[in-house]
Amino acid sequence: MLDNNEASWLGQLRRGVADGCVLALLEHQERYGFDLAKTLSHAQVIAGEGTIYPLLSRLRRDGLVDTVWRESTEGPPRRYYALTSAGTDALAQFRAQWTQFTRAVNELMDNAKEVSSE
Amino acid sequence: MSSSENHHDQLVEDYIARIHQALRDLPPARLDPIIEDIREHIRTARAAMAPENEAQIRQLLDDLGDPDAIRAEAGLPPTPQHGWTDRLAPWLILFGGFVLIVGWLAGIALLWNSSVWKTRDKVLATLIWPGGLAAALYAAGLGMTLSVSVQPSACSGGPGIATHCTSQPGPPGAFHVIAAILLVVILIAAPIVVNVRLIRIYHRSVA
Repeated sequence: MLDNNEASWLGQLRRGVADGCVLALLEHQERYGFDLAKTLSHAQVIAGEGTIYPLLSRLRRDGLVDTVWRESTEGPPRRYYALTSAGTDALAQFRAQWTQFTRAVNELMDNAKEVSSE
Repeated sequence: MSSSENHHDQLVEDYIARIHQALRDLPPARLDPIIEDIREHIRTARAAMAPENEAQIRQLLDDLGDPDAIRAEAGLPPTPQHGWTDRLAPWLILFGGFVLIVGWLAGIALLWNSSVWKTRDKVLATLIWPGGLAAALYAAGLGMTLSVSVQPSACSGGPGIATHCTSQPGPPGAFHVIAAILLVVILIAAPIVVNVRLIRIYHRSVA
C-alpha cells in the first residue's frame, strides 16, 4: 500500500488529525474498535486499519478515552470506547484550532492576492 | 472445522505473531489490549464473511496493515536491523562449549546484548544448559557410567532381595537402560529445542 510509506505532507497531516477525528466520532456515542477502524480508513484518515488500536491505546493512557465492555449479539462481549471529560475538553480545543486553521489555509488558497498581513 | 478454516486460522495467527513481535517493546498493560482489539477486529470481520475464503482473509490482514506501521503508531522507534551477532549467538550457545567453555560464554554474551529475544528466552537459553551441548554430552556420559556401575551393587544389596535379582536380571536392566536413554535424549534435546526457538524468533524478527 502506497500510504504506508507516505512521508509526504498528507501522511503527516493525517497522523496529526487522527486523534481529533477519533474524539469527534466518540462525541455522541460509544463505539467499538472495528467500527472506528472502518470509518476512519474509509475517510482515509488512517492508512492501515490496525493503526487505530495503538492510537486508541495512547488516548486511553492519556485519559482522553475510556473503555467499557458491552454485550454483543454475536460472539463475546466487545470493548467499547467512550469519551472522558478530559477527552471532551481536548475535542473542543481541537475543533476550535482545526476550524481556525482550515479557514486560514482556505483563505490563502482561494485569494492569495488579496490576503494581507493585517 | 474445515481444513481451509484451519489454514485461515494459521494465517491469522501468523499475522498476530508478527504484531506481537513488532510491539514487543510495549509493557504488557498496553500490548495486551491492542492484541485483544486486533483479534476482535478479525473475529468481527470473519463473522461477516459467509462463507469465508482465503482471498478475503488475506485482504482483511492487508487492510489491518503492516505491523511496522502499527509499531510506529504505538510511538516505538523503527525496529533495529539485526546484525550477524544475532544469527551467530544460538549456534555458539549450542556448540561453543566444545571449544573449551569460551565459545559458549561468547554466545551468551551476544545473546544478552541482543534486542531480538525477550528476557524470558535469554534466561531459558542460559540455564539449558550452561556449557551447551558439550555439557549435556558430558553429563550424559557421566550418567551412563553411574547407572552401569550402580546396577550390580543394587543386586547384591540385601539378602532378602537377592532372589529377585537373580530371577529377573533382564527386565530391571532393560528398564534402567530405557530410563537412561530417555534421560540422555531429554538432556541433549532440551538445549537443541531452546536454541531452535531462538533461531526461529530471530528469523521472524528479520522477516
